[in-house]
Amino acid sequence: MSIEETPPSKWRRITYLLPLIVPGLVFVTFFVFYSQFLFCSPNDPCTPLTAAEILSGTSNLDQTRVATYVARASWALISGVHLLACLAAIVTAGLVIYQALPEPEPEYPKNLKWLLILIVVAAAADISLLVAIWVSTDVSSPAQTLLRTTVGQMVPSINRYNRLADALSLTGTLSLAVAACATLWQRDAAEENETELVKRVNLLRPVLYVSAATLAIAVLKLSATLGWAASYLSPDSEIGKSVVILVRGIVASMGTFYTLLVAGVYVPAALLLRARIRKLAKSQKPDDPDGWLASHGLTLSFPQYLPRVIALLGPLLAGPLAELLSKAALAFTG
Amino acid sequence: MATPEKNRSVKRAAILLGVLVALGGVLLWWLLTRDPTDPRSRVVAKRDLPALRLLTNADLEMRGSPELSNSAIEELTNRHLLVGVKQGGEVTREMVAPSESKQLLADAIAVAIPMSATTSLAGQLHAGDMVDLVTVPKGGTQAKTFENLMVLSIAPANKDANAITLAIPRTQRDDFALAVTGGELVLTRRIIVANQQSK
Repeated sequence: MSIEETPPSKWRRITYLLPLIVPGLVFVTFFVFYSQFLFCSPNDPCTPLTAAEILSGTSNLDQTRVATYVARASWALISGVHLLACLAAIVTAGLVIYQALPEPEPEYPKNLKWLLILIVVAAAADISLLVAIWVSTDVSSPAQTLLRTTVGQMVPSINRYNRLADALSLTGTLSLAVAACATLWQRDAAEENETELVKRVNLLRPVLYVSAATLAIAVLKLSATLGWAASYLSPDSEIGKSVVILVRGIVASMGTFYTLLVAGVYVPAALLLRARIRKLAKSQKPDDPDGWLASHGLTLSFPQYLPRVIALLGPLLAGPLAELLSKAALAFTG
Repeated sequence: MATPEKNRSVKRAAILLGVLVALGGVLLWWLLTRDPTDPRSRVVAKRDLPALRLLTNADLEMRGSPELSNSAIEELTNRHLLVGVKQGGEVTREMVAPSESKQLLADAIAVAIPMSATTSLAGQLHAGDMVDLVTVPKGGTQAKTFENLMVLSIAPANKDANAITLAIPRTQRDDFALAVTGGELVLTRRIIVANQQSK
């Protein structure tokens, strides 16, 4: 019995955009739920701890002042690392797009691909700045109230730094999502060969690891920022204990959100490439596709899966890890 | 050889990049200058302001958005500051006592009492609450009550203990000192029921 080959649908190209569409859906869902159930405004205050309560609980004890200085130093350090991670994400995205896209036809200038990469980064930056402007209206949320009444009293521009850092982080993530799309892009489905597919699979790996590392560092930065704010309050006081619970909750929920974003970028691209590899294996060796995959080193074993799973969970694990490290540091220094 | 049509595509891509970069510049400018949390669009303390100070125009200034300055500062002046704010620190509505308590705080002094289960209302006490304080001397049967005191803050007095700071009328200072020394302290808050509220 012969199977009649059907010409590929034009709509298949939409699947190339899945690494951009899926995190986009995660993003929109998060913001819809946040706006509906968590958005606080001056006329509709919903923060569990008011500015007066937080400010009245700030302590001027020697230990608290030292803790505030240490927290400020940690924030400065992690902010620098975060900036470098975002730049690394943008550069990685550019290199992956350059490698993944086919060479332009001879009639086009050679630097066309670089022009395209610059367009991608500029569009990602514009979207991120638009989101930052929209988010900046959220001035009454618990985290903003905490920051404004503690760190903001000494460093009034803290919120501006945070918005810019968040915009840079989102620019890196969006650029990497486009890079994941580029690894799926093919001009003609029939042209794909083994070398090409292996190259695409290998290019997807840095997209996963760099995006997971960038977002894990973003969670660490968030934890350091809110930890700096919490350091103004004595950890033994009632308000101090409440703030620690609040900070832990915010860091955990943002860690979950970032994990879903990384999964949204990586998983669709990985599944689609896997499907193409299987299809190629079937066409190359119809009687034993698994044997063909094994002979070409294209099977995935548990030890190969594990680092990817850890990377996907990186942003979620970053918050508890930061807390564990700070507790360990305290235990060592007494 | 590049065809004119392909040259046009490259030109269009370059124009698109230019537009995106220009748009990015505008958005960045907007974010840096129109951010509602911008330090230049908030009411700040002109000098170090201690807690319980009656705020005047001379104590506050507006950073940015001059069209909003009068209404924003007026909302805060002629009211008592509940917490200490350092020079340049932001002063918000939540940090000042309601205007109705102006009379109460006009001649008040701040005193601190140790925090315990009976003085913290089992953790339900908040800054700004109006409370009564009942003092019972050791072994005594006669209680003395100080009514309508405002809670100014609940903060650590040292590493091991928290303290509650209350605003009491200056005229009651000595009586208060005598009553609380060595005595048992019980803090009470009036429970407002719905039908009382509507009266």
